[in-house]
Amino acid sequence: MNEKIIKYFSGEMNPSEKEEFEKTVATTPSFREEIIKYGDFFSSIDDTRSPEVENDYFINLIPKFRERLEHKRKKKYHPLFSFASAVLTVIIVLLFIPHPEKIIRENNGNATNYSPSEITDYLSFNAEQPIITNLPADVEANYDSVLDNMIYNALDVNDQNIVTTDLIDRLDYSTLMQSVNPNDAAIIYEKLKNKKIF
Amino acid sequence: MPESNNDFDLVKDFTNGNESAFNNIVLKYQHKIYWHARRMAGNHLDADEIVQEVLLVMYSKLKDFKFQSSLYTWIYRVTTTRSINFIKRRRLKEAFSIEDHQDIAVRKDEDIIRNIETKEKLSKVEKYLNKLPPKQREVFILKNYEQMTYEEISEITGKSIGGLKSNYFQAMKKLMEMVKNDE
Repeated sequence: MNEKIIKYFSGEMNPSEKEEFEKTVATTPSFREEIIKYGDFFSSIDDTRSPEVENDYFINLIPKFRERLEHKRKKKYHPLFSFASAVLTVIIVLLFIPHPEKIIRENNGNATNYSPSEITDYLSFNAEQPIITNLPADVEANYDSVLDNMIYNALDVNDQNIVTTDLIDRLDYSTLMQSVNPNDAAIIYEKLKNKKIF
Repeated sequence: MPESNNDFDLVKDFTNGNESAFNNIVLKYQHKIYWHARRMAGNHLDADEIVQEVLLVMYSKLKDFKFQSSLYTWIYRVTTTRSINFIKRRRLKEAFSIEDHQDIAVRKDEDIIRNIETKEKLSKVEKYLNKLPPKQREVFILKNYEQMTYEEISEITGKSIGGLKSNYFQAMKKLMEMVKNDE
């Protein structure tokens, strides 16, 4: 029966089929009740096919769309621009950050003209390395002048081109310690406590 | 010189950079787009969202339109696809409760229909149609509201006539069941 009902409400019955179907409906009260319900539903579809609406909606449709289009265009350019700017900034920063290892290499290990902060950078970069043995002599002299001067003075070495590590074996520690005043000792202690000396 | 209202000329004018030609296309088809979206979505606010999406698609794709089908068929196809996608997104949102219940209530209340009786009737029909799967809803709407033949629906949806008939039969069966059991 479902198929017949569907055909009837879809307008797919020929006149004789339709007549026969309507006769069945008329003679079967329970069936008629069901068909009336379906009929109401389909007439609601007919009644709402082109309802009267507030005209403002359609009047404003194009301006609303244009506004949205403009917004979309702006939105489209923003992320790209931001992304490009971010990438450019990162590239510039990377290009201009002085690389400590590069500084030393480019200047054949001569660090005498470098600022303390550049040398500190270099030392941080090599933090895992044994500092004294790893550094070029003149760099070491520059960054650790207090200690070196004390060593040179204690040993009466006038030629400061001699690397301090070569002199360490010659040290008489007790004499050296006696000549150090408490302030210098504090400075030396601060300098030494975090170093790996081999 | 008066502007042409012929689809081919309008599309050509728009492709040549005449923005007002696009406005004329919209003016010509806006009611059809809205009502198809409205029947598919089942409420005004969602339909409005779909209409805006459809206009954006039309605006960006019309330049590639080759008139292999009529503009009317193409617009229906775009509206149908966008509506089905929208319904799927909405169902996902509802399933995962992303959407606020208050939003759903507002969506149901806001409307552009003036007549209260018509509004109630439409609301009842929409309630039933919303329970149909999108593909069944699509064929039911095109057949009953737009009064299209299966051949015309096939051109829009790209589906076989046999498949469409089966979808329509299933849609009718479900609707009859709902109507029958509704007090």
